[in-house]
Amino acid sequence: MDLFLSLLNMTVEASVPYLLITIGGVFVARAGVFNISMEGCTEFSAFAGILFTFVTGKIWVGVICSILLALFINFVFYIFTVKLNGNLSVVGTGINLMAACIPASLLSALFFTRSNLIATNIINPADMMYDVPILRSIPVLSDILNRQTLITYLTPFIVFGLILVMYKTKFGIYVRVTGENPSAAQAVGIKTNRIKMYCLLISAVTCALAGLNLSVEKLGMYTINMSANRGFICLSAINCGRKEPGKACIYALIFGFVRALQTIINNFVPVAISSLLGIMPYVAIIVVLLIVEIPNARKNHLRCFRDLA
Amino acid sequence: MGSILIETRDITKKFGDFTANDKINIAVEEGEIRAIIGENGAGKSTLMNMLYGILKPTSGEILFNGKPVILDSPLDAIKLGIGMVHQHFKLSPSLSIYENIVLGDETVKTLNVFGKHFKGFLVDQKKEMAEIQALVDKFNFNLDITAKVRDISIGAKQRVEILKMLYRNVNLLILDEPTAVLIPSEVEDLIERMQDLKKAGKTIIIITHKLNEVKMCADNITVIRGGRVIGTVRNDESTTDSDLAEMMVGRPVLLRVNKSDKKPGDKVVYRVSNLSAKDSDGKKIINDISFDIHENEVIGIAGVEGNGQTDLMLALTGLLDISEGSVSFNGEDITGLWPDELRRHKIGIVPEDRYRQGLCLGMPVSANLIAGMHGRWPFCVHGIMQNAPIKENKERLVEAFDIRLGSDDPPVGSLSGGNAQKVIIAREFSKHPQLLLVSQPTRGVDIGAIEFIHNEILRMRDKGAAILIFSSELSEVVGLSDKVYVMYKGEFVGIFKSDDVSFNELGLYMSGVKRMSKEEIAANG
Repeated sequence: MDLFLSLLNMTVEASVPYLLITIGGVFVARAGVFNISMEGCTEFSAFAGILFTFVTGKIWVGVICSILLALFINFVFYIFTVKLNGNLSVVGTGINLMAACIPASLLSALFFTRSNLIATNIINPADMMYDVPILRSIPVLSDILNRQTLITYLTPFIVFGLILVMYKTKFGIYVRVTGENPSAAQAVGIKTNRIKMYCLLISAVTCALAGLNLSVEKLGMYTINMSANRGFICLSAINCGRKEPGKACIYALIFGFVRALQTIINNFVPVAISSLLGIMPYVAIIVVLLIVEIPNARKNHLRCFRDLA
Repeated sequence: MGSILIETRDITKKFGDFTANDKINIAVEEGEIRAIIGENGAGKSTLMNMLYGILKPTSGEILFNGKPVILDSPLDAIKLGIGMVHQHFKLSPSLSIYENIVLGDETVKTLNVFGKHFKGFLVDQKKEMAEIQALVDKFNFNLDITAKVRDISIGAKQRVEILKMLYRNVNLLILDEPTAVLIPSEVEDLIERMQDLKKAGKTIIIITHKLNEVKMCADNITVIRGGRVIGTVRNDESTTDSDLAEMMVGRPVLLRVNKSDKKPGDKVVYRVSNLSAKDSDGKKIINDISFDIHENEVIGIAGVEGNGQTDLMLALTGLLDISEGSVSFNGEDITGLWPDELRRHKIGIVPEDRYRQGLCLGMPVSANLIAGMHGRWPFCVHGIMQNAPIKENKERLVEAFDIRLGSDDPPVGSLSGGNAQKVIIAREFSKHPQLLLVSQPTRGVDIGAIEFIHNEILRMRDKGAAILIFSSELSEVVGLSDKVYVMYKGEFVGIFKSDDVSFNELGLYMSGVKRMSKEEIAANG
């Protein structure tokens, strides 16, 4: 029972970055931009959060710098792809590759280490967890939900808020039309490029929050490859959910659950196997996609691509 | 008549060296319905796009209400009161009708904070719906405003586009080829709506190449050819269809195809029996279709788009699984064969969408002319492409089918619609097929090329081929075929001899008002 509760507790904790990256990414995907650089954006944010906290000694500076950096990265992505019509995969891969090497290079240049940057003297991870009085008194929920970080508590509000934005506001309608039929949007004077930019900026903030959650909030340190392909996994969550924010978030929760499961199993198996368990999220993607897509493929009677018919 | 609403003075548009519009002067009076007619590529759309702010004129000026105006975008045009409905609808399928109409102009809820009103974030759907419902009722548009646009008919989509403009209070409405996609009853309805709008004081410019409809609705007709105005005539008894056609093309044209007297033979070449196919939800999209085609016979299939013609064509050409029934060719069972196997049986296929299914745009004409036979002798020997026969084949077909190429062997994507279609016709017809499956043979093709393609189809018929034609152009299906089947919701609902059927009668069957019993269809088939 304890094990099960701690699995759920860890699922909540582990789902946060997946949910954040996914909900922001849904906006970008819905606006018709295929953005593979969420991975790089998250990695940079996680790094910047710790770096600037470490250098200035103030957490809020780290947080703000991290968000600004993420906004800058996605703005650059916007300029190169949407404005200048560059290839989405080339620019996206470029950002991801930079995220894989710039933090390592800066770490060795500034701090003579290649693996991590520890800021626990400024950030005490135990202080980052909040004891919510109401939750404390409810027996089971307390074990699952209490003593989580600030961003964790913010996440459901961000998710539901953005779903509301998608379906109930002008901006949400414009995002959906921009992706579905840009010429319909342009014909009534909606500036589709600007809509895409706003979506990328929303995604930048959610990626930054995900990165901050990973480095600043949970550990007080940054390690190389901290985002650990969460950006890519969220990309599959978005597409499995057919770009519907609600469905995509359910996939994000599944991936969060698998992540938590992996962490727990790690405690019981030899090191060789626990390294291998790193593939669990990916296996989960394949299994989930198979389960979702096989019935669709069975039902398909077309012998050519659907858009040809 | 009122004063002049919109006028162009020596308006010219050049794309590089090509002059699309050459010093065009037109003047449209307030409250009139003006038709602008011309062949594809004559420059009608270019002119309208300039009036709507999509294109900027190279020189010349536009006067609206007597004042020169500069239109940088459609928004400027709409602000002045100029609205346009495009041939390809600019709607968002997943949104409802009213959401599409108000798109870009949504009403937001106001927030009431301590007695002060602030602009809120959430869209006020109730208020929008009431407003649009009032508009629909006012102009008699007959729409369920909460239906999703992806679920409504093409005629309804067009009404949504017109409403979108009316919601923005335009005075001048430009309709680009509005009847191209409609069935006869919808065309009549549209013309009635246009008369209503005229009574309400709106001015309408309609672009088209369908002469009979122009005759029905326009006050004045302007003919454009090769980017120049040929003339403007009043629409009365003295202007005939053939005069207008001659003005459009520059030479006398046959408006009807001339079929030879040759009667269909007795031999059944193609037999389709009780054919059904399902979509991904397991719903039957084509249901129990049976027909025979004899040698020397053309069978036409008419119907409103989206009633299963596309799916039937896919099933017959091996691109959709057949769930029940069989297909035989010269007595041999060919049910469920793939397209390459069908081609090996000497069956020619002219697909519905020439650019996506029929041609490879980036590849040269010579390669497109051997597509489907590219792995076979003499074009390919031991897996290596043979340039000499490919070139020879191209030269022979370009000559025989009068395909106009800009250079020696340009990519197909650079050809006009008519010439691109001729590439497919040449490829499929030159194999001496015994059976031709043809879908939309002349969609978006100019009058000269239409005449040529129709004659080629009839020539194949007289040579003994069995031919199946799908077309949304009623005059084409009826004109070319010996018998016409009408398809409605995936089923055949009527069969007619093309010699004695009226379009109105066909329209009743196409819209599902009338239908024949299965026995009646079988007896006449």
